[in-house]
Amino acid sequence: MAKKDKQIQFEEAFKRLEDIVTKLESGDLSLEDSMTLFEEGITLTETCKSRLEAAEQKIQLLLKDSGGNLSLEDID
Amino acid sequence: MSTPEPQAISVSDLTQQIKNVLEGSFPILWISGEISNFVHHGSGHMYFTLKDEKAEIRGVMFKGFNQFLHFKPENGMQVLLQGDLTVYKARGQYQIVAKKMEPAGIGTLYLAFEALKKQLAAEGLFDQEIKQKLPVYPRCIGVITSQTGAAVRDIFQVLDRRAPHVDVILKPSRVQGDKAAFDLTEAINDMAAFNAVDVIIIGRGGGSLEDLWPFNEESVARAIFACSIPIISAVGHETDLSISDLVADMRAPTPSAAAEVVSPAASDLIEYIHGYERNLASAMQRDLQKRWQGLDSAKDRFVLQQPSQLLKQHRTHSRELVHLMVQAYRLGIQGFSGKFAGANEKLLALNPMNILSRGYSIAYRETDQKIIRDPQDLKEGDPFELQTFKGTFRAKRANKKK
Repeated sequence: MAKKDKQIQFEEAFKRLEDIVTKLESGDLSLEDSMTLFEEGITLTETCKSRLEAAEQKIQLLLKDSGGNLSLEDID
Repeated sequence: MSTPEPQAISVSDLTQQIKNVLEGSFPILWISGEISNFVHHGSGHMYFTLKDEKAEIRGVMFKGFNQFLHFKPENGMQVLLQGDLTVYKARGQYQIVAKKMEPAGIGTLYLAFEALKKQLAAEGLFDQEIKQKLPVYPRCIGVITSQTGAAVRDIFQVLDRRAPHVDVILKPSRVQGDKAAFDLTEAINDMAAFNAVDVIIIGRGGGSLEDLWPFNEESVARAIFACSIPIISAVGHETDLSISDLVADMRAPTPSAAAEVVSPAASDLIEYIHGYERNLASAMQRDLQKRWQGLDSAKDRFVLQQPSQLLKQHRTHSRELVHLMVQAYRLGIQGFSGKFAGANEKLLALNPMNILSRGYSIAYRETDQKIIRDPQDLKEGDPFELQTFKGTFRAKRANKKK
């Protein structure tokens, strides 16, 4: 999974979904806008679900070198 | 007032009075002394005498308490114990009923613990109102503990089971011995500086008071307090309370429990998402229903003409609509093959193609392709386009009936 994708926060995704549902329920949108929002919502739920279902936990070590610089290293 | 004859009271009454006086006078005691006459009885209870150079006192530690001892008491051993003074009436003996016991020398640790606790409490490091809230949906969890201990295994196991979508960063640290407090302090500061995790678990498995001691050091407490990332402390077992537990943003009874608390279960999140899917579907359905109603009333009021020769020209104009239809249809198909039948049936029902197949149509103003919602959108004689299930054609608004 791409790193950027991993960064999507559920908190943000859920907030956007709430937004979309509220807008759809308001009923003042054109059909085109409704469809676009609906599709965005479905895509968002699909993204979240696939992230939850396909995710493999990454475990890393936080290391410090003699110069005091911090870096991550993968562990199995 | 005097009595002619001395009034005798029974041995039982006297003993009861002694019991009342003694037991009420020494609520909770810490006593130091040397163990002698030690017997670990078959019943599981421990009986002993606690003595110093000039005096001795009987002691008992019942099975329910001595099972938590981190060491094996022996004759000649200097100990520090906490308990209640009680009177055993049947034998006319008073004795200490011990609840906690530690090898002497530990006594100084207790004093240090109490002193630091008092000082930090006075400075406000334990105040509830300044504690940080734990994140509800952490992306990445930091763990500070020994890389080889039981705690790290327990934490990883829980996180892997409950929340495989959450990443973990481990900062290994010694968790007992003289250097541990230094390690822990540095690890907390490094985690904060690197700033890649949303919450930190700090802790270790069970051990003696001496083993757990680094978590009672002032430097560790101050590092936890200063850390900008929320920290959950899980040191030893439920019965072990450390300074780091008090200063952390939350205390968990064990490392496994800490992992449970910080990780949102993937299964719960999937439930939320299904909820959103249902909300989306029903909102879209209501939205479309409103539009169908508008179309129904329009259909009743218009006499449609059918200039079929213009069909070809119209197709170009309705390209945008067809694009939308295809998108919606694709969503329907995706849903069919997906795993979430409930939500998908709704998606299919929302597919405009299905609605059109039931006999509904959508009318577009020819000039700008806007959907017609109001008879006022067209003037008499204006051309418009009508999308039906099998195709689109051009039409014209009729003149008003005379």
